[in-house]
Amino acid sequence: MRRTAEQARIERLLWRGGFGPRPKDRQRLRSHAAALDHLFAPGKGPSLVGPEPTTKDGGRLDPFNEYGHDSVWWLDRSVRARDQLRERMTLNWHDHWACSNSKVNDPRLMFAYYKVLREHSLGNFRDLARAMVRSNAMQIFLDLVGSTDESPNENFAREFFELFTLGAGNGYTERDIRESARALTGFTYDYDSKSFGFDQKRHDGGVKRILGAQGRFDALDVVDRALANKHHAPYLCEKLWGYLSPRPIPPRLLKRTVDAYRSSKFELKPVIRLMLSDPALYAGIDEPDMVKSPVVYVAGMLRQTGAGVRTTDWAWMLDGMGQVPFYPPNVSGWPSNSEWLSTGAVQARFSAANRMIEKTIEDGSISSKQSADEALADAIRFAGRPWTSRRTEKTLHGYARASVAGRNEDYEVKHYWPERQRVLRHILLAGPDAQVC
Amino acid sequence: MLAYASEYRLNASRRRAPAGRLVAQLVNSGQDDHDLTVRRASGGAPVGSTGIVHAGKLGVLRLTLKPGRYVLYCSISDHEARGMRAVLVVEKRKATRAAHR
Repeated sequence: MRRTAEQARIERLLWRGGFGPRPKDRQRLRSHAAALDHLFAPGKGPSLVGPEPTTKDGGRLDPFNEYGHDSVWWLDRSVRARDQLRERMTLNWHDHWACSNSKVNDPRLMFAYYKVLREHSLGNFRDLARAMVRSNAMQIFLDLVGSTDESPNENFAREFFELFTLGAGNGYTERDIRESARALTGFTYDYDSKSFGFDQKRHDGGVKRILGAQGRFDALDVVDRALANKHHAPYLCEKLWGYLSPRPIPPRLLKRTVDAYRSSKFELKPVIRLMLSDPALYAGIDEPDMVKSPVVYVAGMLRQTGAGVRTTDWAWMLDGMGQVPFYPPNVSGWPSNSEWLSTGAVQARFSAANRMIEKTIEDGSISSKQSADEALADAIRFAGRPWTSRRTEKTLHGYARASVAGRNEDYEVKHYWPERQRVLRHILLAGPDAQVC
Repeated sequence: MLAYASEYRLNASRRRAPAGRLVAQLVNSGQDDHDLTVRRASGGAPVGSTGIVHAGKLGVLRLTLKPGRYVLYCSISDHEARGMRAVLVVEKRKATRAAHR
């Protein structure tokens, strides 16, 4: 589908800063500036827009008591959130501060973790980091609970520096990890009563030396020591950019964002706004090169087509594609970009698109008078007017003509003409162009 | 009801449930085999079990329970003694409540 340069920029923005446009967004957001403003200030109204999610038989989701419902609940938020940027950043932070229910084993704790991520997703990174230290799900996932002065567990401290704040081997030593682990001792969890706490007697209150400073540091001091380190801001800005673009961050943008981050004392909104406004985000606008993660792909497809979540089968379909919310594979989060496109994952994406077109076109429902152009226009409308390359467009036109040529017998019209529509819709939703943004 | 099994914890999403039909799912997020077995707290033979659920797999148990206290546990080896145990209180069903999961 041909787009103006402005439309292309708007679409890129809505895919990278959200879960893609809904058909109405195209009419409503006429300029890139308006779309950018809308992302940062989506206006008043219900926080979720669209039909409530249901199971296949029309029942309500029950995330705490039904297997798989938790991840479908997250998917639904991605589809229906009015505040798309906040929701997208929540998913990005879930990757950054990866925590999995496969170890936590308690959806209630995972929902509390989600809530914290969402609350701070466009706020202040220091607040977010402090909240993560206190997150009960995170405390279980990285063994903060049960870490005592007599036997400090280094898991959290190690990942805190390596993945969450500084980057592997970037300005810290093994001693910094050991000393921070001492500062992080004292958190407790009673599995039977499911109660969390802090036991001063199990906390190491001694003097520690962390990242060049000495003191009787506690858990929250570890956050401040890491954020004061000169390597933190560049690491975080570069990582944030990685969620928005597959290309390296230009040095001038890195400097601008680092300056904005430091001068605002770790505010995230100015940094993200600079990134979403920068021309570098719109590089290769006619050749999209960022592979949609499975959640972005499925949520985007549901938004484009105006369909809501109508089945919990999305849980296992997302699993087949390699990304299940609440279940990142490990503490370093999910893979990115082309790593999403293994043979099996692509097959799962094709199946997911099949699910979208299931029962939308019955045999015998399309007249032989429908032209190839009309057929393609109908499919494009169904798929929410997605971007297609010139090559794809040409191929689809060719297929729309050839697939029914000479098939004019009644039994042929009955099957092959609807089949043409099904195939066109499927290619628009699952073809190579649909995988990138 | 959803329960998670790992070494050696059994974490159930409900501590109370209405009498009648109960569907319990067991997620084995541990590394060893586990099961979800149910018996009355007062003793006696188990009233139902998922059978063995291998690591990473999901087991389902469908039961009809009368009011009373029940013990949910893993019947494999000494897993119950190691901590894989939880109590479920089944209460008289209110007339309008639908079957609980």
